[in-house]
Amino acid sequence: MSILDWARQVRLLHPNEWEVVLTPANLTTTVEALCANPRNHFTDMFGVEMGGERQLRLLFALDSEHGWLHLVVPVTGDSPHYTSLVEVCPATLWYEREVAEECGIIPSGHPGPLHLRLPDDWPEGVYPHGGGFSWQDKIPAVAPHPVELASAPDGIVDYPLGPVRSGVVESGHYLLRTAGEELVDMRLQLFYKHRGIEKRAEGCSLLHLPLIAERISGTSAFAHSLALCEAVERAAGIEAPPRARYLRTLFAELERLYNHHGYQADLCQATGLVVGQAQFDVLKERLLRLNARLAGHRYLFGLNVPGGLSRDLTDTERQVIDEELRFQRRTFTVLEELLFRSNSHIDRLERTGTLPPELALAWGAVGPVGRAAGVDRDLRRDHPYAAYAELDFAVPLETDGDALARARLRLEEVRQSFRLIDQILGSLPSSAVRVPPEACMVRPGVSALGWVESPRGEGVHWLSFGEQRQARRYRVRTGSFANWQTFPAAVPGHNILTDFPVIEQSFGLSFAGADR
Amino acid sequence: MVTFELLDEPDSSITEPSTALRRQIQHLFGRSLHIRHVDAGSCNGCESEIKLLTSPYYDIHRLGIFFTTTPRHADLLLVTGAITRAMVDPLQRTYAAMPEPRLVVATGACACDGGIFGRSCLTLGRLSAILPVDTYIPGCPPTPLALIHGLLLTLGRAEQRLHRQILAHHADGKA
Amino acid sequence: MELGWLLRGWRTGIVTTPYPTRPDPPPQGFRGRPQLDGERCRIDDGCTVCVEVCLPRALRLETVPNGLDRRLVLDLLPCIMCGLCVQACPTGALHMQSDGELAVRSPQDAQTIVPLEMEVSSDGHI
Ligand code: SF4
Ligand code: SF4
Ligand code: SF4
Repeated sequence: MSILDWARQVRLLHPNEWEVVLTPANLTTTVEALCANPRNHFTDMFGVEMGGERQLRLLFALDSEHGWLHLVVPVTGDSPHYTSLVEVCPATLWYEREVAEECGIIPSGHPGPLHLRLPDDWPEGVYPHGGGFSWQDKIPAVAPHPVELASAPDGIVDYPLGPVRSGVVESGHYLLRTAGEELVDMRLQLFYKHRGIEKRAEGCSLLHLPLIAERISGTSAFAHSLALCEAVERAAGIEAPPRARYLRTLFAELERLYNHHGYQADLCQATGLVVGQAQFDVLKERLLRLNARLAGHRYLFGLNVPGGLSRDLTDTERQVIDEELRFQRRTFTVLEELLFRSNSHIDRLERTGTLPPELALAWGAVGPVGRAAGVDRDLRRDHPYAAYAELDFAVPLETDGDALARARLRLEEVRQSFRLIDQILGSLPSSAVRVPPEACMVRPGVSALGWVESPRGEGVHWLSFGEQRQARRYRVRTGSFANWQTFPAAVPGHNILTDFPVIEQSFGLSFAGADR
Repeated sequence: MVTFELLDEPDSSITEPSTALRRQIQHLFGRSLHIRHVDAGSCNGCESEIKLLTSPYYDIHRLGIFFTTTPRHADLLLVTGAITRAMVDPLQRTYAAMPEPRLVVATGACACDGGIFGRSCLTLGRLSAILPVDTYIPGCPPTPLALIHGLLLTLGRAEQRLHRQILAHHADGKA
Repeated sequence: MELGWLLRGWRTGIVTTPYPTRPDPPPQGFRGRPQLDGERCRIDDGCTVCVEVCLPRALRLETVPNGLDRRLVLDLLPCIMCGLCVQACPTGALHMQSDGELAVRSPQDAQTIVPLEMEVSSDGHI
């Protein structure tokens, strides 16, 4: 079924953003039809409550020409149900649990437990996105009802790790199942860090929303605030000035660079290559200092504002970036070569933590993790935003799906970022960097989508405004959330217990971004 | 006459280690210090900065400060994040596993006083609500240098720069 | 191979900060912390612009325990150093400092306070 078949029912909300309203009864066939075309990608699923009515919403990425499609399913009653979509679209597994828990819309026939993101002591029937209370309200604790894990069968030993783990790392819990040395399975328990970012944003004004988006995942702050600002701008029907679009692309690539350096440093730490870790940390720190000079903040907080950027780039600063880039290029080439000559490092990555390409696709892997397992998707190319459509870059692709492929892919992405920054510095348009705030006005009740290819994968933000032009519902799907769902699939098969730190680092996911 | 007490006075029994204990701590950890870090709901910005403390640019080993993997060898608990409901119990268990005397440092706006989250349905919003805090390091995130200053201050090896200020009024000069 | 890394490390040289022996100042324009100048602040004339733009309520109006007087508090503990207050302040009473030695042992030391006395009528009502 193509989009044309729906022509009569489909509504165009914004350029490249379509909406079709369905009933729970015809949801399954629609999703099945969409999933049958490999060019469509399931992207997000969430629940919304507006003025006492609840909606189940699904988001699909279509081809470049058509953009995005929202499926909207209004539901009624105290305990609305729909048929679970996990069978026709496996990637919805976690999303359905989230919708059930946070909006009270129940998937009949869901294969797993429904409790996902809320803390174990959260009372049943209190839905953060089901309406009725604000983020500041105290929700009393009840006796904890943790998700029970089946006990280990004979011959299998369970290793629980976390939520407080060794080293300076984020909090999350793993249960590793081993037979002898070999890793046979794992259970993931995330969401210890669930801060309720989306709930926090409710009622916030345009001034404050970027501050909230930046703190979804501090190391992808620019990417997330960019997605948010693009959503606001689409809702307001404006576009950031050309210079702002180019500078946003520049900062997004600078963010990718320091993240990818940090990624290689962490991976070196996991394989014990201390010298490599130190060298990549040096590159990362130099970029953070550059950020501090350009934006007044090492992680680029406070730079994106609806309608553009909060500050411009001077000619001197442009030269500083140019010089730093030359240093980065030179050093990076040497480090890359040294990495590939370090057998102790490469041997630990090769055929470790393989994510089979067919599973990567089925479970909805995105970003570098997906591209390292043959999922040829990059929002910068497929649904260009900021200035990406006007710039020349390649999207690297690997098909092995192992830790080495993931590391190699990020090395190549660094080179592409260098290319992009070079082009931007050479062709920076002159214009204002921000439309006046009074021109950036959203109509009450409007909603819009913003998206970004963050260093860790696709970030997709949906924002809907209330009567006072404040945020009414904010929904964020991060690349890490999508990729965590695929992570356990890389663990069984040919991996031993001591490989686990390498597998974990090679995915390079953020807990904060997934937990939100 | 106007008095200036804090409205929201922290429970002094849990937040203020005694001066005597403080002196003992400074003496004990004068030379080397082992840190256990716990993320209690951060955005990962604070972790990124803390991790860089051991990188060549900051190299805190030169100052006799090390990170340890087990709470049993730790002298200091370095906490980040807005203290999510789910992390309260793991955090308290980590603290309980540390030998005494132990120091607690709240890192970043989130752990110090909730940052943008504050006290909400999902976050406690400040570390001092559940553990006695020795030092607060403001910032979002605090830079590696700010972290070094905070750690040295906790050990009595650096000066505190900020002090409570009651400013004169513009209209008349009373303070 | 190890030799290659060693050589690389040697070429990087010593990059370690001189801090705390000597200061290591951040670049110009770095948002270290907001600072409040009581002389310029117009809180007395009813200005509350900064209080309204501060998301974490690091700038807030508090009532002093005697129940009559109020004060403006700038509290660096929840402050996220966003600088919105500095941009919004109509009198330039707020500006951003780049210093980074912000750690305190007591929450009170992170506060700057501008006292403000309300006009009290003879029968004690505001
Ligand atoms: S203080 Fe700021 S940087 Fe640190 S965890 Fe909180 S939001 Fe992130
Ligand atoms: S905005 Fe400026 S003048 Fe007004 S109360 Fe705040 S600091 Fe004072
Ligand atoms: S810098 Fe931001 S958080 Fe801090 S006082 Fe000003 S407005 Fe509030």
